[in-house]
Amino acid sequence: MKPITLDTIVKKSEDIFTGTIDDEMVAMSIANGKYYQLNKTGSIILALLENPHSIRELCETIQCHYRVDGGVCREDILEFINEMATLNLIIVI
Amino acid sequence: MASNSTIPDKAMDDGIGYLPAPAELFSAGIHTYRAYGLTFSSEICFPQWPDFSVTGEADVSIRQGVIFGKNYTPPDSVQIESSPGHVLLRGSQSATIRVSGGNAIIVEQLPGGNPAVIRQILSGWALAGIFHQRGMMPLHGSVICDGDACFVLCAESGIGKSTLAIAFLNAGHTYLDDNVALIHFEKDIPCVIPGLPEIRLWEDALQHVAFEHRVVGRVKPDVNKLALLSRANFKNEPVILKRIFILRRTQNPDISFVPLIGAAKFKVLWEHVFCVRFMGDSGNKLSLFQNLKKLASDIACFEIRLPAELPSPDKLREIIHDFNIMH
Repeated sequence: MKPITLDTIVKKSEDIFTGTIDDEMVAMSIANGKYYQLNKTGSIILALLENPHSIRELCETIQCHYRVDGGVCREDILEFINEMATLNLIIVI
Repeated sequence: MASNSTIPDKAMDDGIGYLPAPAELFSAGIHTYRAYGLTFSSEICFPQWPDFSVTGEADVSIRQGVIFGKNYTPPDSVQIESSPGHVLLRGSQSATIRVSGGNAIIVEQLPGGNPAVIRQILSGWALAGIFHQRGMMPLHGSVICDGDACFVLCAESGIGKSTLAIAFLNAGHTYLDDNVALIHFEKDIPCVIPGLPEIRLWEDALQHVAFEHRVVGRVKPDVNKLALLSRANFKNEPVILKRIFILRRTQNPDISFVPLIGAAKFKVLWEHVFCVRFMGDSGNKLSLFQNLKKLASDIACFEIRLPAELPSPDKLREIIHDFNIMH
């Protein structure tokens, strides 16, 4: 897999179902039958990834929601996206 | 406590009673049943299934058929193959069974395949295949009626779910199924559809059964687990689902009720979907996910944390009954 950078465009995998229960988001993979619980920020990101977005765009949106240092935000989101990609929850376009 | 079981006339050598089904798997004629809201037309007789006169085409057909034919060598252990809308069980000794389209079950008995074992696979795994292909929502649990509503008891193996169910039936409750809670939404209200009037329990628990029943035989020839038929306590109509209990053994000294919410609730419900692990990609997972999500949003779910030393079934019944009254 190519390294994910701020300009990489990603999208939620078609094999993932998501839903919100009692304000908590769950995502489930059809392929492996596993489910994942997402925190609030992860939920926002996965909801955004219903459509393709670059990591840079995701960072900008998250910074609109939270008061967070730009560098920290980019670092955290890159880490999260890499983890999601490893689990096949998102695809790189 | 007196047991009033009716042992069929044709007693087996082991004295437990004979499954009053034809010795041959495939019997003459077509048998028709209704269970889980579906009608069945079957070349196999199932003594525990509720008879029903089917006019027109049944929802599900169960037929003898050739899947691999005479020169087939079965695998050493059970294998399952699946594709969307189809699932195939390759038994090692019993049968090859294919479930397709949510409406057809084809059975090819292997030479010497035990009819009782094949009937059990059909009553469990094969029905699960039908449910999942139809996008239905089956949970693995006992369904006990309480007034105008019902609740589901789910438990890991060995906790005594059926023994607890028997304690409820002894106390005058009725039931919808002892193994599968088939849930559907009737005008947005979650209900459980009646299934089979069968209870499976270990032979030594039979002495505690104090309601009208009939021992119909061993679940499997080499297992001391019995199948009971109890039609008198069986409620043959959908009932509104009030709550779901998950019985879990812990190291805690006392019994406690812990409400499950959010993702934890979804996780537990998913873990108790009936036979979902044995369906591969055969079922309608999107429908199941959406149904479970809705169920998790609509229904109260409690984990009953049990101490390592389990209370008696009657004591646990009383505790759950009191909890139901208070909440």
